[in-house]
Amino acid sequence: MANNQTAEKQSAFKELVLPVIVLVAICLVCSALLAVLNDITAPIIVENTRAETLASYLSVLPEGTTEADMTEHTGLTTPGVEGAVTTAGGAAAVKAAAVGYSGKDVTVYVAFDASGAISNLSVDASTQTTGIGSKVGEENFTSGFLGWSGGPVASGAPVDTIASATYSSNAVFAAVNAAIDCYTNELQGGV
Amino acid sequence: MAEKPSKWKVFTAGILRENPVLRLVLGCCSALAITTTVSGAVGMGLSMTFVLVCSNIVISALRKVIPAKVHLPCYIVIIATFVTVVQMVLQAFVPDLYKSLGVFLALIVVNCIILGRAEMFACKNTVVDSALDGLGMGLGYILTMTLMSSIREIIGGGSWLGIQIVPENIDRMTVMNSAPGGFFVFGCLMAGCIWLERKLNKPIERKTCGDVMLEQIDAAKQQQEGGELA
Repeated sequence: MANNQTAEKQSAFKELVLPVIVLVAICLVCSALLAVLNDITAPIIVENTRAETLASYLSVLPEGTTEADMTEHTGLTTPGVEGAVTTAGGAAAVKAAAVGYSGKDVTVYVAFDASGAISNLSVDASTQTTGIGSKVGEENFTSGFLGWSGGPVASGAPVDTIASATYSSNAVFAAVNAAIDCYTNELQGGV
Repeated sequence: MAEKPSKWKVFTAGILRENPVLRLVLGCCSALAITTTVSGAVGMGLSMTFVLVCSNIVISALRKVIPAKVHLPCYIVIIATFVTVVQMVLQAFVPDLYKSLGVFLALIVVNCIILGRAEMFACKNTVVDSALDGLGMGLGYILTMTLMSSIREIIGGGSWLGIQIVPENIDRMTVMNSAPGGFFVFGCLMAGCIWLERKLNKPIERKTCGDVMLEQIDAAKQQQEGGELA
């Protein structure tokens, strides 16, 4: 009788408790491993992202600008703006993002010359549908913004929305507007 | 139980005889999506092989510890861990490859080759055999991906590994870069595999779930008859 009870208890333990213990143990070991690896890779990833952002700023700023010329601005409050730099020559570049098609961000890098006109624009539309939304990253769309200094942009001013890519185009307009806001209110006003 | 296959047989199974993509038709999602460029395909193949070998080893080592009730959650946790390891390492050290693989890197977790091999092989075999199986299957996957992406990149983009080999003035067949081209190449390669099988006169046993069930029913019947006779 006592033996029977122990056997029953043992089978209940095997059926109910053991699976839970094993699964929890595996989860803990895996999480610990990932935490250690994250500690090692996270700083490198942050550094990579920073270098990439700086390279993107350089790609839109006038030729000849070097990393040493740029002053990074932190604590920007304009919604949608992720960062900005100004150069000794009076030019500025702003990184801004807005939600495009299927809830994914379209990131833009807008460069302003010393007079406040858009001197260059690069659009990262890699999150958008290839062949449709991705068209907002092409030069025949972005080049339309160059030289614009007439305040907020919208469809038709200075460029038209791309047919069948309304969401992606609107995201570019919204992101460029955020960049213009940031430039006029925070960079021009503050610096 | 059938006799135990040799180590060499276990290793080479994945390359042609049981090629995961062309024969077992597993992992087609990544095979169709990533094969537009050779570099992406090889990168995906290597990441996949790493996860496959590691998860096969761990699952096979823990096969007696993991209770049957929670075996799937355990496998998924182990596989997801290795995928996250690959993701972090690639993001930190090979950011370009990380970007080109995009969402498909994370999707290795649910790639049926890995879970398939865990269920079909690693949970029943020794650590060494499972590692060899993972390596063989991974190699088969890399070879198939390289072949598919070479065809697609050369015809669709005129280059191989980014080196231009078709002159500019010849028009590219851009359909190869999109999904229909992927399916087309996939079908041709599968047909080629069957042709090779006929040519070598080494037909591969093909069993559907129905066939397996019928066999089991037959075996049960025979057993029953045997019992009655005795």
